[in-house]
Amino acid sequence: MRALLIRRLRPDVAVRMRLTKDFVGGVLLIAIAAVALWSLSGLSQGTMRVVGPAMFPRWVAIAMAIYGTVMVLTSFLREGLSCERLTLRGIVFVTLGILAFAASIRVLGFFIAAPVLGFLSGFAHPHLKIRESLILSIALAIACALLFRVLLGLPIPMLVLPGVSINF
Amino acid sequence: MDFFANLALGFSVAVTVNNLFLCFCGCLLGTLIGVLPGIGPIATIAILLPVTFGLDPVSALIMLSGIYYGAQYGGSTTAILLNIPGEASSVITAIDGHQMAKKGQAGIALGIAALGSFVAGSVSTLLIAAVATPLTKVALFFGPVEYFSLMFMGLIVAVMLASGSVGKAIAMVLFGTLLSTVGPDLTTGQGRMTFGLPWLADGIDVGLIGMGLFGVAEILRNLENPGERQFTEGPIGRLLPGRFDLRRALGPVVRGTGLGAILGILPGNGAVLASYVSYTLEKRRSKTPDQFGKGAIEGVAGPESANNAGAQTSFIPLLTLGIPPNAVMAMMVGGMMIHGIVPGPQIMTQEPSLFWGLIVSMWVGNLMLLVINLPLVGLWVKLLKVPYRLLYVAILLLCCVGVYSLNNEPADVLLLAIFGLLGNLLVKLGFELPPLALGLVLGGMMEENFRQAMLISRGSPLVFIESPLSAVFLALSALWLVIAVSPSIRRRRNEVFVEA
Repeated sequence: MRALLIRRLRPDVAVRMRLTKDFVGGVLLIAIAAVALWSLSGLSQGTMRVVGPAMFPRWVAIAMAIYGTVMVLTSFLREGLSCERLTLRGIVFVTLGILAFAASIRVLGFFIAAPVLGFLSGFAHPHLKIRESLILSIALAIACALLFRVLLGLPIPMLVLPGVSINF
Repeated sequence: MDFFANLALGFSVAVTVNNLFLCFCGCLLGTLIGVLPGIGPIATIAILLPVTFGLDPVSALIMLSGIYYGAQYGGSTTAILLNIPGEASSVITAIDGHQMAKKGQAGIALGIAALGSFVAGSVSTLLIAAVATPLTKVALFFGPVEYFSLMFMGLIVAVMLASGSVGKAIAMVLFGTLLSTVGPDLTTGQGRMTFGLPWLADGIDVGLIGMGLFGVAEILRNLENPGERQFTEGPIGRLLPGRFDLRRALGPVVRGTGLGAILGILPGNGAVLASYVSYTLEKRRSKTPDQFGKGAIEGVAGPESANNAGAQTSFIPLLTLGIPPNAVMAMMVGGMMIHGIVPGPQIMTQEPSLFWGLIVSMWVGNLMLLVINLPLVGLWVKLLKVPYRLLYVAILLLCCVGVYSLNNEPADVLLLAIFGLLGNLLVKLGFELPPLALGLVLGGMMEENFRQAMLISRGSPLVFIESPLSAVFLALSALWLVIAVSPSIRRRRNEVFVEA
């Protein structure tokens, strides 16, 4: 946006359009506030005397939206830092690993969920060694099972086979 | 005489075989996780919370504080050996500590850090024991109105002491507050912002958010520059500082302890600020300031003591008023709540054995760190040599198991991924996460107190000015805001953070 202004005033200067951190950050704040306000829309505000469920969160969300707007507006006027690039490899495989764990922990049990998480998230690192990653995943699963199930006795389903649930 | 009777009660609780063992395990586990690069105290506490499940409240609390000290100390070890400060408070330690390690004095640096921390910890534990009783009595005069204003002031001060942009810190406090309101309403029980999802109906656990924002997000950040860290190969050297070193370190330790003990009580990262101020102070006082940055023992002894004293005295607002002054303490509140302990003045009066047991176990925890960490330095060094491509998988698994065991709810693990991604995004956009964690815990308390205050005052917001105490707190907050906005102070504030 700033770039647009500069381009109009100084057509001789080459300026690239870029997203600044403040602009994106402000938009993010506004978006979060908007989702919050939308989800609060059915709740009663109450009165000052008997404060309803929606009043406090609504005020907070409005304050967030105001600050987000200020950030967006000032980002047009001030030279800000550009957004860093996202490195997708780490994000994709770590997220996939966690999602796989969430999906399988109750249905298949820890002895399936943990190695799958370990193996999938291993791909997030560029220096992956498949064999090492496999051994690590299984070793970690056994170590965690010993710590959390045997030593601490937390009720984590260990292995669920169709029809039979095995909890040791 | 009460003072000694209380301490004796504390010793009788803390010094049992069972509790000593748990304190030991806590310190060990806390250091183990805290030593891992990129894992600060907040993530360490969150990750290790499930380990305390199944213990009775007193033992759980003792173990939790052991974890807290271990986590604090673990950060210094990585800072000295690897030049990777695991948390903001050991950034300073890394400067001279790592230079000492390069000169082959890693052992002495670790030793003086441990000794200084122990002295600071012991002194500030005594301070806590001394001020707890009178402060708790003061707290009894506080109603919802005063609490609300006090918390408001706390948040303002915390935001001002944040190292980055004040505005962004406020935005994060607001976001944390918003997250705290997810779940059932306090009075009507209606679900707020739950989107009809049953696993949001009880709100979002503080530990879960902690693990997502400070555990998973940190892994994502580290994976962006996956180049292997360089480890200063070389002898650790002897661990115990000689008489000459001790004499040089004595002054910095004493001054650091004093600074840390006072600044630690302040809301926000008081302990971090204390280590910065201590470093600046020692550098100014030194006859050889050019040695700083090249391995001066004063540059390790002072900030480490200040940091530890601050870490200790930040328990004061939590235990006497029930207000967590920083993000790490906010995590501790999360841990206490799981065990049914609501921190505040009522603990001391209603459960004196828990209160004084905790105080004494703080000192025991400090002693244990000294005893177990120095001999175990070799082990931590080995751990640090494990490549990151193996470590992060282990941390990730610990986070997932930890989050799942909070409520045995797979959807919580899903939320973990969401908060991990969100944390990564926020950090990339220049937001700081600790104010969010503080808002998460303080925001919920503020809402409760606000609604009670409105009920008492029959809906008149003027009550916050009519109560003299509350008016003072609000006036102080306004003063802080004015000071923070004034350009000269702003410059000074940046100087303190940049100079060191």
